Amino acid sequence: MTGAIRDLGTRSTSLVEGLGRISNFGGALVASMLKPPSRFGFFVRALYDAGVLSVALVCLSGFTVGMVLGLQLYTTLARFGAEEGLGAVVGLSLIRELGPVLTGLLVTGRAGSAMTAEIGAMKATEQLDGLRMMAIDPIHFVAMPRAIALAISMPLLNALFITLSFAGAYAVGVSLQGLDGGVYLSGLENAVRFGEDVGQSLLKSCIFGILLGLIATYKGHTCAPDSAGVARATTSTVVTASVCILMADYMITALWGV
Amino acid sequence: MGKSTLLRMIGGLQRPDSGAVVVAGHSLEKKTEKELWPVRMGIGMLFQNGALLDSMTVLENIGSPLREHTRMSSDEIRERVAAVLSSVGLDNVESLLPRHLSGGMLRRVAFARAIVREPDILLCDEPFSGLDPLNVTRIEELLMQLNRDLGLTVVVTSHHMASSLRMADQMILLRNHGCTAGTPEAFAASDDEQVTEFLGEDGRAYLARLRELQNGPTTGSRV
Repeated sequence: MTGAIRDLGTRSTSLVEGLGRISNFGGALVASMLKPPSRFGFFVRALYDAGVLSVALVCLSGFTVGMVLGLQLYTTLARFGAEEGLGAVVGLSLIRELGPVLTGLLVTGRAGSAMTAEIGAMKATEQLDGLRMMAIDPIHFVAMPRAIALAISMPLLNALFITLSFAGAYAVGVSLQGLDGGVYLSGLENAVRFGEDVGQSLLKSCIFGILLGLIATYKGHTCAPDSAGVARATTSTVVTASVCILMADYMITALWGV
Repeated sequence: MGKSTLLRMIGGLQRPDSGAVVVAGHSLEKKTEKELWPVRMGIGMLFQNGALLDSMTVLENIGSPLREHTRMSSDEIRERVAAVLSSVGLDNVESLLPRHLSGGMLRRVAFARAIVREPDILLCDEPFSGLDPLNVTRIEELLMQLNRDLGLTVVVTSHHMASSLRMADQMILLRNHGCTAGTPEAFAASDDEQVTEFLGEDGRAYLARLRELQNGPTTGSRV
């Protein structure tokens, strides 16, 4: 019994310590954004790695999710004779929830893990220490441009995911099931409010991008400097970021109704 | 404490559990990362595996400290990098990535990066490990040239006894508990079993030859 309580205490303390360390790192990351130079070249390279290289995955996944949604919802709605509501249901579910969350999880697996592995490998091969010995801040040089790239690419990838999902649902609902294309599109147009739904969806995915950028760069910077440490940090990034995205999604929805 | 740990402490990359680390009059053990920067400006460090940034070219790697800490233009940086590369015996490698370089070339590029800002102290972690004899001699000459021409203080950690004896003014042998310090000659004259064992055949042969050159051939020489 005493051991269990002691174990609980140790775990709680280490959790709080971990939160403190990641908060410190986040503070240093934000402070480094305000310092010159801008590292624009590194930012563009990171944007390409995190954003452009994720486009194919996001497009394929988005189109497939749209097709599944189109099939499932059309069949369900048809039972109640409400198949003309397909556009509205697909639009709202994708824009408000599925788009940001699924894009967040996809980008976590594709780009977040790669970012942690890259920074972790730099740590294991003493490249970060090499920067420190040249009086260059590794957070400013390595983490900052990558974290910004994730925060910016996430909403853009989310928009792409949602657009391709609409196309997937259209392909199944209209081309295969025979729903009128005009009905699908007008249902979508009438249900979705651009400022509220689309704007808030992009804001939500931007928050997910910031969370992923912080977690992926922190895990890379703090991993044990060996191959096992890099592997553990990469797995930890995927698990931690996925859970954080799902929890943040609930909290944003509950607090702001987004 | 190991050799690399000692070198990392001199560079302020690691803190000691107890005691003090004083480099060029600066006490390092309580300084924050930012307070260490001015000290590190005067220190160049050659890491065991080079520690070059693998996504950047040789030019970008060596030019990094110049871009960060000087107002030199791109052309001036290019010229300075070419000059430093030439001084380490490399030409026309500026556009290559570290993965395109051989072990010896990688070590020399890392050297070039460490000395490009003309530091006062150069720390070298195992500069001879994994190199063929030709490259060992080349690096050895380079270190001695830097010490002689630029007046750099060079601190080298090494298992390579012959090279260490050839280059060093002062040597420190790290042991399990404490250390032994002295000149190469003092090491050669030592009766300490651990010291003679550590010097090995290579080291003893080198010292015997050195004595022979200084005093003329002697009976019973091991060379």
